[in-house]
Amino acid sequence: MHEIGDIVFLNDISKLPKETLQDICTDLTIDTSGTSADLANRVWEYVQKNRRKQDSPIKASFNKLLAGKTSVSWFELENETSLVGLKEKIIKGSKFNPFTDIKLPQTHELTTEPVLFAAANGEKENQYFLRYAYRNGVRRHTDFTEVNFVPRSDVATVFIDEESGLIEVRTDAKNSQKVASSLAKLVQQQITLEQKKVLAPFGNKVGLIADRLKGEMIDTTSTPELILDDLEEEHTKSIIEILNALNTFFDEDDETELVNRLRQASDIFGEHLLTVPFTALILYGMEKVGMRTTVGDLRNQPLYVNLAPHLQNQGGFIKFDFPISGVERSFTIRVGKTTNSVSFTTPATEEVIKFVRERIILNQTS
Amino acid sequence: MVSDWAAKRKVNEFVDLLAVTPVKQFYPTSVPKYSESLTLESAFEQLIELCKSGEIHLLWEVKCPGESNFCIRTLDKVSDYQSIIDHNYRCDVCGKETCVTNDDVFPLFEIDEGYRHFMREEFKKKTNQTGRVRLKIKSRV
Repeated sequence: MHEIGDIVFLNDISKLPKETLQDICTDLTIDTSGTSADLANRVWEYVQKNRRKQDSPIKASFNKLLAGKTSVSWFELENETSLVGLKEKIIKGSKFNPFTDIKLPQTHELTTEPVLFAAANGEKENQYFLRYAYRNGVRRHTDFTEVNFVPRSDVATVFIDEESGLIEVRTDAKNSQKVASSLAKLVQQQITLEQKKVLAPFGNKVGLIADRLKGEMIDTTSTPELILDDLEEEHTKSIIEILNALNTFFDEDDETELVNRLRQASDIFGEHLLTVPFTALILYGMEKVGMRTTVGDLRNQPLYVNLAPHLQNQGGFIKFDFPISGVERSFTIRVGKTTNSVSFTTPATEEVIKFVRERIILNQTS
Repeated sequence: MVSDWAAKRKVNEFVDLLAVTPVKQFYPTSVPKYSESLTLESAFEQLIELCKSGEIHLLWEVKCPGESNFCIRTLDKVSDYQSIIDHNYRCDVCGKETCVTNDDVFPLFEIDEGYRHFMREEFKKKTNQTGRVRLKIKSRV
C-alpha cells in the first residue's frame, strides 16, 4: 500500500517554497544551499532512495508535500450520500489498483480530462490521497525562426475522508470541478457532485470565518449594498464639502463655522436626499471598495467600522495562527464569495488544511 | 398559508423608506442589516411578494468572477435570468472572459420609478407635519 512518499513527484517538490525546501533539507541533514531548483532536486533524489525506509526522516515532511500554496475546494455527493466504500469503487473503476501501482502518464498522452494515476493511504484506512494529472494549456515557445507548442500538464491532489463525506480537491478553482467530476465518473456515480459553499454559510461575512479560525480579517473587497442615483455634480461636491468641514474644524476649532458649512452643504440636498445615512452617500458611485490593514483586524479600524454596515463582502484575506511542531506559525488564506474555495497564500501543511476543513466546512467547534 | 406578518411589515417599511431616498437598487443582504429580526430567507420571500405588486422589480446581476484580483465588476443587469446564462462577457476592467454560470449571477432589486414618485409625494405631505425621516442601518459590524 502506498504512503504519501510513494506518490510525490519532482513536480510537487519543485512547487514547494524555498523556505520549506530548506527546512526539509535540514531535517534530512543534506545541503541547504543553492537555488530552489537545486534544493528540489536534492530532496527528490533523497525521496526516491529513502521513501520506503522505516524511520526515514523524510517522513517528518510528509505533511508538507501535498499541501503547499494551493486552492482547496470541497465537494459532497448529492443528498449527502455516504462516501463509505468509495475506496473499493475507485479500485474497481480504475484499470489498475492505484494504491499499489503507479501509472505515470506520458505528457503527450494527457488530455484536459483528469486521469487518476496514483493513490496512497492517509493516517487511517478510510482516509486517502488520490493524484490526478491533466493537460492544462499549451506553452508557446518562439525562437528565431519557428514556434513550438509544448503541452503543459498539472497534477491535482484529492483528499478523501470517507467518514466526513467530503471530497477535498487541491487545485485551482477552474480545474477542481473537472477533477471532482472525473472522480464521480470513475466510480460510476450517476449522482451529481455538489460543491460546498465556503462564504455563504457565514452570511458572506469574511469576518465570521476569521472568528472561527481565531484569526484576523486583514483585507476585504466589498461592494456597496445600496446603489444610488439622483445625485448631481453639486451633490457630490457637497459630500466632499462635508468631509472637508470636519477637517477644517479640527484645524480651526471653530464649531460655528463647522455647523455653517454642514448646513450649507446639506441645504444643497433636497429633503429626500438626506434620508439615507451619510456614510451610504459617501459610497455613491463606488463599485468596489477594498481595504487592508496593517494593524490587527480590519473590524477594529475606523474606516471599516464606519463603512461596513453599507458594504457587502465579496471576499478577503484572513491571517490565523496554528501550531506546527509546537511552534505557533502564521497562515494566510483568501476566500471569495463566488469561488467557493479557500486559497492558502502561505504554504500549508496537512494539519492546517485539516483545521480549516473542520472549522469552516464541517463546522466543528472543538 | 401562514404569513410571517412581522417580516412582511419590516420589509415593507424598509422598501417604503428606500423609495424616498436616492437609492435606486439594493441587494437583498441589505434588508437584515436594517432589522435584526429579519433573516435573509424571510426577507427574500417578502421582497418577491413586493415584486408581484410592482413596488420593486427583481433583476439579475452578473459580476466578473476574476478570482485572484477580486474583480467584481458588474457585467450586466437583466430581468430575464435565462438570457445571460451561458452568455459570454469580457470584463472591461480586468479583461477576463467569462461564460456565465449560475454561480456568477446574483439577485438585485430595483425600486419602481412610479413608486418612488408616489412615495416622495407622500413624504412631502408628511414632513410638513413631522420632522426628519431617516433610514437607519444597524451599525453592527
